[in-house]
Amino acid sequence: MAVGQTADKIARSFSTFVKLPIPQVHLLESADVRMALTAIDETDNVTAVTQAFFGAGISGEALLLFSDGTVSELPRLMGYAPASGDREHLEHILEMASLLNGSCIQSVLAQMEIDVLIGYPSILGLRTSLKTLFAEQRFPWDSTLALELNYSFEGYAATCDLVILFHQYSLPTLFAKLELLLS
Amino acid sequence: MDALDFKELHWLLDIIQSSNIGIVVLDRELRVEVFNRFMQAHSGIAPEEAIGKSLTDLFPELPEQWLWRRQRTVFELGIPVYTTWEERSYLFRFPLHLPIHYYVDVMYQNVMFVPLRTSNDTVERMGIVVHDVTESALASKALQETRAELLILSRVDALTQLWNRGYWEERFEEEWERARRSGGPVSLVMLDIDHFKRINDSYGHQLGDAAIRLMAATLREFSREVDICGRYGGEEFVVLLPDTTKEGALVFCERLRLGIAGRSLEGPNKEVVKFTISLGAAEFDINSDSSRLWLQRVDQALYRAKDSGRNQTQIF
Repeated sequence: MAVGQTADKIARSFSTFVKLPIPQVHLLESADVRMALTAIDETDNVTAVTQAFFGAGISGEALLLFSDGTVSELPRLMGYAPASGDREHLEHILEMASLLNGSCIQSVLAQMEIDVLIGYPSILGLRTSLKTLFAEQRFPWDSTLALELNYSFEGYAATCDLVILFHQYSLPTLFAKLELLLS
Repeated sequence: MDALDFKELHWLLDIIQSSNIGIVVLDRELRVEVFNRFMQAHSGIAPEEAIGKSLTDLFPELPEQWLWRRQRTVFELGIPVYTTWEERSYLFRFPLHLPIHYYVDVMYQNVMFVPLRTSNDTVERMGIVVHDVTESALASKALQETRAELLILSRVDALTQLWNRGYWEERFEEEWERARRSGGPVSLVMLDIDHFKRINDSYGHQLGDAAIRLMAATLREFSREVDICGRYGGEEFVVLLPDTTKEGALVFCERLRLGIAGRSLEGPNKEVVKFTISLGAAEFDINSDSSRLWLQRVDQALYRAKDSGRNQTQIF
């Protein structure tokens, strides 16, 4: 249900339909996270944007990954003229990220009746590989709940991957809310 | 309040709820009247739990006296008070639990205390506005750390991690100036590895470097925190000993000389390589010494130590 709402919200912003598969939900141990994240895109041309979110008893970060080809298609997809410089280029990336992350995080958490505040998007890496981005990371937590969504847009080659990572500190709240919903 | 006003109030309230800033409204007794979503998300306290309670009961870690001082400024003088992360990292301790940016563990805050007036212009409430400035705080900290690292890098000798000659000379001039004004005793030591060329020629430059590193390590071990040790040239070292007479300097030099004589290195074919050092020292003489002259006397003392057979200390 959340996915349908998300697709609808996004499609209203664009002139095209957004194709969304059902999100894949994984409970990842910190030892596996690096491998899991790295496996999403193994090329050297990934642009990654993160955006933190907070609700009562909930926190996490959305990680949105664009491939190089997608980044160059963004202005057309959003109905804008091609970016005239680096700043505008970054602005397009961050705008798209806010839109995809925001609608997805909000829909998912609204299902669980959690009010959420979404932070500013920030670029984690431009045209780099996920391997490099996460090479030095030694995550100090044990597990995370990861929602992975692969977006594609009708009539465009562009695709992007959104991973919503809930910090393990949010797991008790999340599971309690889910149990309420399912009961 | 008529219907139109109420509608307007609704969206006005919405910006308080959905902004990415913390908003708390307190009465004169610091009891909570408004507690927005930002505060709820980060504290885990629901507005209905917070309202009516004293802020210091809800957050026992808050600096109570400090808070009352701000209360007085706001209520009695009617002027806003600010505090930034640079003076106080945060007011409310909000741990951030982030999976990717995990190294950011607490929220840095700029906080504003503002008087809230009623329609007859009396201050009856105080607003606390909390800005999350974690990102700029971390960026600015990282910049300062990089600057500090660069500064140290420009002052330290790469091989030995002792001060390099340029920075040591700066410190030496400062200490000389201080000694000239205060008149307290201060001594200077210069030392040199004996037959260093022979070590290099017989065992290679790598062992030569190892000898210099061993010398530096021994020097660090035998010197006090206040002593200023530097690498003066190739195999030559200098140590400035504050509050030390020439008798004290002699004790220091002899301990160091015996210390290094008791150590050894391993050569390329596992042979034991030992070396000795020669030292010269002089106490600062307030009546005659310029910094240059003092350094010259120490240099002459070192020359005498070399000339009289090495592996010894000479005091000028």
